[in-house]
Amino acid sequence: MSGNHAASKCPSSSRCVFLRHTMLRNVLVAHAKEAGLEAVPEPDTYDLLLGQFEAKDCKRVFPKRMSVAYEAGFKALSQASDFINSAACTFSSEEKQSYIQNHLDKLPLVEGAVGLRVDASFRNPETDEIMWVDVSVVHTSSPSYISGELKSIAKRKLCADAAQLHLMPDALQNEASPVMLQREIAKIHKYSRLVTVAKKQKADGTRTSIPTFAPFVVSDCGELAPKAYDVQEWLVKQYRLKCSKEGRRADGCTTVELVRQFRHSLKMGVQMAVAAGLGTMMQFAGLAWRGLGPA
Amino acid sequence: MSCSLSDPLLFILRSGLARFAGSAYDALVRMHGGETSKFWALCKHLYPDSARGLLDGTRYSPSTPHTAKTNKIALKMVTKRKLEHFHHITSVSQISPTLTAADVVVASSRSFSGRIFSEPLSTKKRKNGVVEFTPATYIAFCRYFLGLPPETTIGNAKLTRTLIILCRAVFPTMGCVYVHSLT
Repeated sequence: MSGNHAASKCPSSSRCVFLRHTMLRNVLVAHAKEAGLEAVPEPDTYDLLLGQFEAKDCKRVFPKRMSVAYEAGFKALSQASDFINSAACTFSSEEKQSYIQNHLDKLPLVEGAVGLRVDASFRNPETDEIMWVDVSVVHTSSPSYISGELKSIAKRKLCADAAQLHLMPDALQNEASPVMLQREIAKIHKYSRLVTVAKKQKADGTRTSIPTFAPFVVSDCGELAPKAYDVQEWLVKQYRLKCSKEGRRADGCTTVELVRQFRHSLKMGVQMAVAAGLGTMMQFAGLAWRGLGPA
Repeated sequence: MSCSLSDPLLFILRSGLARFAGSAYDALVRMHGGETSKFWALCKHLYPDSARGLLDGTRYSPSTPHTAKTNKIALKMVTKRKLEHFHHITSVSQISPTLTAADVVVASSRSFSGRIFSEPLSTKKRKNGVVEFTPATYIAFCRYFLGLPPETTIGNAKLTRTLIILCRAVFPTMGCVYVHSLT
């Protein structure tokens, strides 16, 4: 009834989980394009990092799941990269390359590991502002999250009652669900490796701007995490810039009206994608698994 | 009341409304949660003290046009009262066999899903970010949103004794036909 089974690992609905994710990503990409940005869904990590790492190495250097051994190896690689770029390094160009390659080879390769890849990359061609976005939908009423959620709800209620009693503003009024905040932190940690490399590229002069990474976390109930609001407002800002640049329109619509319409369309698109995805999951959960046609 | 009695002719004929005044006043007080309610205390100054005051011309007459936006204030009060009631019945302390923890989480989330019901739905196929919302998907989502049991889709739905006892409502439950056999 609460969709817990559909959001679990039921194979019949797992395809719909991907569908929900894809629909949500498509909504963001479509709106980014409307805002005049260069939007690439599922960009290659090779392209994302300007070809610094060979395509075959990307899976090894940036695996989706991190082990302890990998984390240690990546730290060593990062330190090695810092060293060869420092003034103290007296290596020749070939030596530098072999030094880095040596550290790359030391990274543990997990068989069947999937490489890290952001869901969408948005770039403003004029300001060269770049944002990498990874989309995630959380089912907050899942049994594994429920205790944390209930504690948070009880805390919010207590705070609201106290605020009402003492005629003070409610400090926790806009606090997001703890599960969503945790998901945001996990995503930021996961993709921090890509951002670290991008920052180094900027320091080396191979990149003109440092990309911003933002997770777009939404709950099945339609609640947006704080960073998701940031992405939404960033897209709105880009759209506003585009409208301002285009100047007066022949149809008489003002920038304010267009921006309002764009924001509404983006918000509705996100809600529709989540609701449609959840509805599909509920619809197919529990059915005999024999394929549901092409995605 | 104030609008109708601002008309001189209707004001003269107001005695015809006398038989409705008592029940109207009671309904008004009930709408604000009764005479002991804090919501009534907050807005009772907008209304007469008794049902008689509705028609005696002291408050509502052509010479005393009523400009306060009573309806707006009253509706806001009703909204507040209903919201408070909803928060009360879905609070953590109310978790019981008839109100699950998941229900509380869903009810307490700051959801924006309600906006979906105020928008026209696109029935276009999934393309360039357009969302695929088929009638069946929409029904499935609405059932989730309203906390209703899902539609029978699998075909093995049966009335489960435990659930009937716990939920005090009779609805069929389905068993997942995949290996993990969850309901």
